[in-house]
Amino acid sequence: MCQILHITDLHIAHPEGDNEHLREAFFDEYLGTLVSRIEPHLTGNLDALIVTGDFVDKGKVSNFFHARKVLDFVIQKLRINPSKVAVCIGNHDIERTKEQGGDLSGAREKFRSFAAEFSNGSYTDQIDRAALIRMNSKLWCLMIDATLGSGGEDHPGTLEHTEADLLMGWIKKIPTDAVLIIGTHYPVHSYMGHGAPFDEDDPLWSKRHLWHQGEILAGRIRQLRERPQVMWLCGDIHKSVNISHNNQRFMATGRLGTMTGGADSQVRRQARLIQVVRPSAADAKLLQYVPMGHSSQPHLGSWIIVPEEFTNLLTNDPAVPHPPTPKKTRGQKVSKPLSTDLIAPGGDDLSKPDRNLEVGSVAPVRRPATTVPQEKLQVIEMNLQEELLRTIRESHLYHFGRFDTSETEVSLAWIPIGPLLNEGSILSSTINSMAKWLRRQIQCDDVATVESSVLLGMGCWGAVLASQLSVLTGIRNLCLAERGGGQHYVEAETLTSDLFGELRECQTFVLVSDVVATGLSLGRLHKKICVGIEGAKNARWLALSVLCDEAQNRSTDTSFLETHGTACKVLRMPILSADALPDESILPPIISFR
Amino acid sequence: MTYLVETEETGKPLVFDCQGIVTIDDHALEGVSSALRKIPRPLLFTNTNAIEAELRRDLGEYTAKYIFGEAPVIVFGDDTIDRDVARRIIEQVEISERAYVSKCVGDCFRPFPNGPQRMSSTPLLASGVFDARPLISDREKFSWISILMADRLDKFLDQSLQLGQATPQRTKSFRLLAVSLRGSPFAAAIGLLSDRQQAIEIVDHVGPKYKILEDPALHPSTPDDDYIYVGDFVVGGTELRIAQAYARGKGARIKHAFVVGKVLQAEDYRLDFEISSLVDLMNCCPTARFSF
Repeated sequence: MCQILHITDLHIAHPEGDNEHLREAFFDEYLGTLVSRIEPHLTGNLDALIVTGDFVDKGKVSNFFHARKVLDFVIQKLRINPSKVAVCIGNHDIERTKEQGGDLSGAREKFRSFAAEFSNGSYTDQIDRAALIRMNSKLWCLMIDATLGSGGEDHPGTLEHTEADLLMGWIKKIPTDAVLIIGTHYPVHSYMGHGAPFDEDDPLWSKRHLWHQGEILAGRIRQLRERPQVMWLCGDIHKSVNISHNNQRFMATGRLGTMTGGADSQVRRQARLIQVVRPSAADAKLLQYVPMGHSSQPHLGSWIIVPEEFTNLLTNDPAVPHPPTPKKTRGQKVSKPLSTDLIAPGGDDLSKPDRNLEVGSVAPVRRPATTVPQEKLQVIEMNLQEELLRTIRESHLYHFGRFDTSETEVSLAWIPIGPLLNEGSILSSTINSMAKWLRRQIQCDDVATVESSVLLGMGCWGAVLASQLSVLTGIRNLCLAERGGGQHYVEAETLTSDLFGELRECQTFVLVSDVVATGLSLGRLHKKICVGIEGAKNARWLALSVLCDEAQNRSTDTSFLETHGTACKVLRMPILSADALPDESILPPIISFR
Repeated sequence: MTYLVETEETGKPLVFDCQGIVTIDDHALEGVSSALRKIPRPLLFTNTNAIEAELRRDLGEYTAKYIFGEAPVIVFGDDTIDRDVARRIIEQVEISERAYVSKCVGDCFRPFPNGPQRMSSTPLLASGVFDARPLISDREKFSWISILMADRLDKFLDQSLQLGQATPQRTKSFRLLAVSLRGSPFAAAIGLLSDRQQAIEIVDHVGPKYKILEDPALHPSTPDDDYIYVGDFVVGGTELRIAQAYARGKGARIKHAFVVGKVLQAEDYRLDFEISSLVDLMNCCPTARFSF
């Protein structure tokens, strides 16, 4: 197995500045943790460390001494020899003034002295353009200067056909069962340019960041019938790419270094571990440095391994003219994983809601309640009620059908609470209105009263509302599973006897839920608490809900409630006895809590 | 703030993170200003981009201003705090914050009295369970953890935009997906606290025991919707996998998961999205044991 670590774009600007990721005082936290994240995945020692340029920032060649320190630290931690490090030059590593003066060799002199301290000093073949390095019999590295020929401009250079001929001669000498890493600073494949994190609106982006003439070499390699497995590693674009095209892998890794401070400070730093099990099977693990805590400290963080999309482009055309969007690519996704790429996949929309259940506008009809006296059921805020009704109407949220909410009763209406509360700011309005109502019922500025009260959030939405009300009022909350009597939940989610101790001193219980239909859940929870806690019967019992139909015949006695506040009480949600409907085989329930 | 300035260990600097604050009402800091005159002490404000003028208006001229990353830190009331000291103070806050969260989460572990038991969701033997109920019940713990998770979410979304992988419109179409009783309060809190106020979808329920009680068709979504999963604790990852299947069933994908704590390293779950957690559960409670 070949194991390679790829890092790139150190961009060392101010080696000791506290905005510099690669400052020496931060090596342990930053680079040390990188190595410790990699180590468990290694089988034996690393075979090579590949660094694809931009060691220093903006031609500050005096910082090569610090780049050496960075690499020394990493190779020491990885317990590998400097001869296992292969480097290539990036556009920032060139002394621009010398380059513009035509002194191409002088412009690269500092880099070359730096490179000579690593495996580039023990090359098999070397010309100004490239060096071929034999790491071991199964791993070769061709490190290419993709800046050469740029004519002093800050963009990728050229590649003459004669140079490609020469490099092909070297490649042909490499055993076909070996792995060949081709390291260039600039990406070769035009697919790699899509979605770069910087300058993406620049019309000349492709010219400035893609080494188009590198395609000459890639195309020539493709023609070789027998050849080593080829992997192109590059940097510059500060993003990760992993594609396969015509049996060559093209991988870009995001930057390892650079100072923080710009708009892209929070863009994650990266490194990549590549493990080649056999010539046709390479596994690449992308590591990202995730900032922790608040954004004021972009340095503190930890390295994680993230899943990455690997795209196998099936086209035989080596020159994809423009960076295509993945949606348009005639490619085959070999594996679906996609964590950092947020572009929508192609394909039809499978997620459109079924509107067939819509029954049109909601026309509330007032009818007297039977078991909940109207004076007990209060609307917490009239404007909110209007807003909820309008949203239900306009968003077609009222669904009519058979919804089995208990063993014996069937609700004929269902309003999905999530979509309702997601509309605009309805969730925060509901929470604020509920908190106001609650403050009118409970003296929230009295510590003793607050401490002797509890919010019982019933079900998921009840838990959401109760936890938010708890933050606003100071009253503690407990979230409890109640749907279907709690039978579908783990015991710890329901009201267990060990909670009775916590509730024993409570004088006020507030039952919070999304919808109150039959009142069965309220009654059941009240009963359980009264059985478990002596005196709970005499406590104050309040209820808060989003929807509760005031006209509903409730089979459960909820007269224990002193007051029930609801955001909307005029929406009709009829309930029938299950006996009044045909058998489930004739009218199957859309939802069943049984 | 006035209360804090007057009462909290007065020899020590106080740090206020102003992330998400876009303005300050007139005279809102008058109490702080007069408390500072009585009890001079260093105050550090971070992430002050939006409210620097208001802070200077109400608290007077600052003694120093430093930029760490893109976030300014403004110091009032102490001219001896240089850049290095300020950085260390801010770092110390972050470290303390992490220690606090670790302690809160560690306290959630409830060992089984009769030895290891099989977990409800994943076929593992566990020495106990991490129960998020105490985190949700305690408003201080719940607020703190929710704010940290919302911070992470905003960073993730900012980063996605910076990477050119999402347009602002697409970022808005992410939904926070919670699939359990204990995950729901965190999802809602994060959705409300996040700069972008993400929509929430709650599925009742996938974990710890699987029984979806609602018809997913009743939760409308748009063609571009993708999900960001929010949960409390991840041990074996079964809940995440079912959530992934749920998302795929709706033609969407989970792009990222934010949880309070997890047992394994993110990559060990072998999911095709990343899992961010505030803490590693085994660090919070080294006595917890999970085995096949």
